[in-house]
Amino acid sequence: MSNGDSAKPKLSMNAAASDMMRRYGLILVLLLSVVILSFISDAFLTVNNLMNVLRQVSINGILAVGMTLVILTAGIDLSIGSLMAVSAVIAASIVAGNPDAVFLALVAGIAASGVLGGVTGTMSTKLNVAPFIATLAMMTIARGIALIYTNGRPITIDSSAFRYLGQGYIGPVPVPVVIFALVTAIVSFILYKTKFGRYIYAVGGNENAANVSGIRVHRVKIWVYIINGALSGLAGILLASRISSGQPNSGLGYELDAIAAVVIGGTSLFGGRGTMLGTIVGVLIIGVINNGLNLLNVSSYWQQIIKGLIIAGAVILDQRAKRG
Amino acid sequence: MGNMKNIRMWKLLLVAVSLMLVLAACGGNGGKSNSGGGNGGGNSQSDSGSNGGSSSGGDAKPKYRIGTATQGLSHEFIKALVESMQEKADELNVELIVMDSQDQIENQLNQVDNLISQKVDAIILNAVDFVGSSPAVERIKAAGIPLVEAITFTQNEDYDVFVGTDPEQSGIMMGELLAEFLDGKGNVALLQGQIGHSAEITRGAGLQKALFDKYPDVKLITQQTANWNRDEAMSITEDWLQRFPEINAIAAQNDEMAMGALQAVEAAGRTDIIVVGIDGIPDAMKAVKEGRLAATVLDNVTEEGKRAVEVAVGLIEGKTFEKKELVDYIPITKDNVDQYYK
Repeated sequence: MSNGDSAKPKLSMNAAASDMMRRYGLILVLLLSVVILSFISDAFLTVNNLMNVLRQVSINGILAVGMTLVILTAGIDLSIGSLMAVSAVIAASIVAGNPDAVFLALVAGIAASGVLGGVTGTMSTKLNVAPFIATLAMMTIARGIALIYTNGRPITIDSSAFRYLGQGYIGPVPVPVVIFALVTAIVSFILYKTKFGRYIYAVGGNENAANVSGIRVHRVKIWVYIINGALSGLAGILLASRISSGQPNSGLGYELDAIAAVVIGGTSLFGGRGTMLGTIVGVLIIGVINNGLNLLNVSSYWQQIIKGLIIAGAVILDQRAKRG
Repeated sequence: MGNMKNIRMWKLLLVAVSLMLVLAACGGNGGKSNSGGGNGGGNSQSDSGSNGGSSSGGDAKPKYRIGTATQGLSHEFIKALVESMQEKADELNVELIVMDSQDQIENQLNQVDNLISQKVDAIILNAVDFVGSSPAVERIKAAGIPLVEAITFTQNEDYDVFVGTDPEQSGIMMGELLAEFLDGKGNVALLQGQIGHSAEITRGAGLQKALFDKYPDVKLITQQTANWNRDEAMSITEDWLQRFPEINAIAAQNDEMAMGALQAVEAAGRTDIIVVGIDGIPDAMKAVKEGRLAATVLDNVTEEGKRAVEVAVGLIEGKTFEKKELVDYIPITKDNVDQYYK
């Protein structure tokens, strides 16, 4: 580690500088990956393939946006996969009876997972359960709810109106990509242009200081988990729409990719530092590398190892930067 | 300030990512299913070219590239299917790109997108889900790529050719075998699969047509579902042996259930009872060879795999086929079991 320049007033400038370096560094990594891949595989840099990549990252992207908020408060949410399933099966069951009730299905699904998010939020604040444990518990409880609701069997989705969400296009752009973009815009606005957003950073940066300065820490955290839950619900509905099936076992393992994207994007697991742009770049890096490896026919087993290594690498770098 | 460290940091990331991508490009062969004999030799081939990691059995450049998107290679049946496809592909000097969806619809959809991006010459789709895999069919046809569906089919019927079996045929063959064993006369008990499952319906219909409708002296004295399970079948059979001592034969809609029934029958010393199953799983084939199980009906997955590749190549070359290329089941008795079970 270098030297004596660690006087306190300079700390915030250092942090800003290293955040910037990290942000641009990441974009460079993304661009480099794109360039390398377009040389290795001539299938990569086509409109068709790039749209595929965007569509394939949209669901994880929406999850990562929500997860960013959670991690910024120094929390974590392992239950999002199960929340996706709850939302998916509720929405699927609604359109099974009434193929045009898409809006109702959306509202019901998102509300259900939002409520469950609120429960986790309450558990990890008022009941003082560590977020890791609280969301681990919710992960299994919510999965159980989805299984009971459906008796363990998937619900086929015939409604073409509903399927449009995951399978349709607006011009050349897949609908999930549009939804992902909208979600990113809205949540970024909340994070950067509202008081609530600043409170999120404050709570994550130094919870005691935030509390002392009058911020209602518990309320902020609970709302963050509610928003995250709702976004998981939206992602779950998009997935169900894409595969035409509300499956109680959908979303298994999705929390890992979401957390990976956030961490690679430079958000610190210790809370208080990170950007939405970083998360988006993280999402894209994972998506581009996944896509590239697929085009090169690398087995999915190897892909998992590579992804794990990238996450580990990103976390290590994050810790070293934080200590500097 | 912290700049030096930060520059080093993203340089490290850059290097790491580049390394991994290069590694991946070289290691691209790891993704292929085992090709007949050419596995080791195939590595040094066109590596960084636009092919990216290909392994064909011979040293000539493969004529065509066929992508296959399958259910889950963890199922014995699917594994056997892919192996036979690879054999045929090697024989015809065609490159086979195998995608294992691990039974997940989303994976299959992504993998099909992938194959389309790679501009393969034909696609063989082993659909994970009747409804869920249908969007893949749309995209494949929109891209103008010949499509063969193998084993399972989709709600969207725009595929060019379906290679598989006629589900009713296995029931019919079972009926014919029983008619022969019983000499046209006797009492039969039926073990059914999960009620409502397509195989339960079609195999039941086939059996009805070929046995009970044709031979009025063969009576169905009872039937019950054992949900495709060996242990359920065993307990139901034990029950039956008490209630219906006049049973002459037990027909089971799949081999797992037949094996369960067989165990119960042997334990009760009723070796006079004829037991017949469907599928041709190794356990059942062994039991037929040993003279315990009277017969089974083999689903010829090897032939289906080969036919799928043949048809795919044929479509690329402009040939036409029937919409459904059905491969026959094979009735297996002691007389011919050695041909199919080593």
